[in-house]
Amino acid sequence: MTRSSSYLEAARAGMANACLQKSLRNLQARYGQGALAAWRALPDPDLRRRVKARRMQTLAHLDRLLALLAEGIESRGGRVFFAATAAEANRYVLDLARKHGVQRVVKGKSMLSAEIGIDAVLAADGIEVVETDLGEFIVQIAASSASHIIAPCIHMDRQQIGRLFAGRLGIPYSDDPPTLTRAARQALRHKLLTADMGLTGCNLAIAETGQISLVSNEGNIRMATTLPKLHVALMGMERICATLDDHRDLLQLLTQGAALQKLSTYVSFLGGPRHPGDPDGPAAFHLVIVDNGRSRILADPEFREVLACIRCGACLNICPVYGRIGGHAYHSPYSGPIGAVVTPLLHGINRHADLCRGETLCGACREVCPVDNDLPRMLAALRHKLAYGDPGWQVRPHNRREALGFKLWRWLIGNNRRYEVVFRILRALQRPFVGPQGMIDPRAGGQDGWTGGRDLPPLAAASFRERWRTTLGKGRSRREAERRQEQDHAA
Amino acid sequence: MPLRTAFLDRIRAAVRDTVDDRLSWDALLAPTDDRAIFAAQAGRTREQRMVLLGRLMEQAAPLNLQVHACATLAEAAECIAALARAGEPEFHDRKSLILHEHPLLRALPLDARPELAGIPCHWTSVDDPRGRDHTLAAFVGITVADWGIAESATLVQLTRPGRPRSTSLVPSIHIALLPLPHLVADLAEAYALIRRAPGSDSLVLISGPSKTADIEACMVLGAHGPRAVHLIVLTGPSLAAGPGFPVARTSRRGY
Repeated sequence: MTRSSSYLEAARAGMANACLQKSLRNLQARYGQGALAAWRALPDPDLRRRVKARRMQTLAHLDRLLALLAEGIESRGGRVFFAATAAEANRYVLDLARKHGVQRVVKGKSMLSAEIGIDAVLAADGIEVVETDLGEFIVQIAASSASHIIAPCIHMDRQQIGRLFAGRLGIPYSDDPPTLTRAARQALRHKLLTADMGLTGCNLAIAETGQISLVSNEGNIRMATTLPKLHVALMGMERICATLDDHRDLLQLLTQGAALQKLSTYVSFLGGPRHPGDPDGPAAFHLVIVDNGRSRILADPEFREVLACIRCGACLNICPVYGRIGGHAYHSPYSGPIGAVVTPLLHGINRHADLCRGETLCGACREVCPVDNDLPRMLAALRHKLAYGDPGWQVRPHNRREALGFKLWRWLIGNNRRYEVVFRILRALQRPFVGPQGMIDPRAGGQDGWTGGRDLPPLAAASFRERWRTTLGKGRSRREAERRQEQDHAA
Repeated sequence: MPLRTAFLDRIRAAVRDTVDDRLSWDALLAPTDDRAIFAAQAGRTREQRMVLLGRLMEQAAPLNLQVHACATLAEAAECIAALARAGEPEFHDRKSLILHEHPLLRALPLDARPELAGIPCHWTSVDDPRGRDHTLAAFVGITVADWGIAESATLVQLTRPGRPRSTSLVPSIHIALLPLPHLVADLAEAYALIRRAPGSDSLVLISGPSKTADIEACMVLGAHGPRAVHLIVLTGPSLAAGPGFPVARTSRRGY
């Protein structure tokens, strides 16, 4: 199965999933619109642009800021590892797990962990890996995958989760969310208390103070970073701010954009292992800073700003495409408009060609983005690369037939006479295909390609130039004739 | 180390084109002038702090953070005892409490509360090997928040020797005490205090009980952390300046 067919299939499956559709409608009505309202109500209307400017300055100094962060953490006895690739990061974490005799890992929600595929690496070594975020836990035991950055199991309803828990946790069937949550709380508490390693992401590190910070509402991340003797945090190299004040601004944009919260229930700041005299906290703390394709994005001024993203998920909550097809079609831990930009940049533009072509470029994601990222511009830039190829990004033209079509178009519009003749013929040919709603039957292309999911307006009865000649043009000649008559009279 | 150097060199090469329009390193990391913030905190009257408390209570309600105003330590002890009496243990059959080793909590007349008879109180300490077990067994954890933030109904809890992270996390009910002078207006004030607090590399901001909305966006309290959080604000005028309390660090460094 090609990526293309899997995108279309997963999109169709998403549109056919009634439970997903209902959840997406609720989510978008509440959080997407809510985030827009929150930005309109900001006391400082310039905040988002100012924060973006700081983000870009931060990226310009990223090398020194990361070094400063590492220095702070190492000064407290923490360890920092710089991983150029997913494989390097996985190898480091696996070696750590082996060295510490780890048998059970409890995870805090981390999209980077899914990006690098650490779970499979640990599991292959016989280590039990347990997701502890409720949504991620549900998705894990259902052998499904997350379909939203913030709400991973949005594609499942309470009945499905009830049946899943009855089968996997051995509880009597219930579809009552509090009962289900309590069952997961009991089951996961045991795992959290007996795990040897906590594995988390990092929402935002602070270079000035040498800390990472993590947000959560459930408290699972606090558990995973407090109870096991070893804490390993995975961090995308761009997830850093220079100062504590930058952190304050970004934190509020993050929790507002994600869930309309002033602050999430918990914001943890961690700068290393437990201090001497601390009764709890991990004895060992390791931060793994991951590149895995990010420096390549950083090097391209056209896409650099996407690294300003703080992964709040607001663009998913507003996007008309994500709102119909859901997250699975994106085939990536990063879905929605942000996923449609970063997934191709991280994992291959040709391989994920459908993502940028599936979005509408309507601009809603830009409007809601807390850091003012111009995602539509970057989606268009990706389409440009797919149309013409780009050796710098190893992109070959995506569709030669499409390219040929555009060449033909150029030839056609190069000469007015030619254009009019061909269009007169096409107008005659299209007649049998115009459907009852006045649109061209989508199967007119004779194949399930570009036309498969789109209705086309038919060619107009006359082109603009033709209308100009026959109607407006006539008006002009009439006026001119009148003027001439007046002049004659005057003479 | 060679890995790290190569990693950072790659980044440096990637941003080479920004050299002309970037801030200087010193400007990027320029310290914030927080003198105005500290002056505002120091100059706040008791009445103004009570207004902040009203703001905190407003913000706390939708977060299910329950705020109790107590004028004296005896009142606070009574409040704690009532909560401990009414609460149901979740993971164990027996009730027990775990308290941070903190002078303010040591000063609470808990022994005098008849409701607590038969409910053991354990204290966190640096070198008690049973500390973890006591925490896991407790159904109520009691701490003293370093600061409270009115704007977002948030507790700031620093990790300190003898004051572990798990006390506010593992028990089903978390009770935090906060002397009124330690209540600040907003996040900006709290961050200014955090920046200057020694050993603030490990801390947590807590805004209400643990919660999740992962199943059909239905809000459920008590996901992994406490199901209930109570904040007891000590409002008595004598408590504000009483001995044994850490006073707000308003002018530690010169200003």
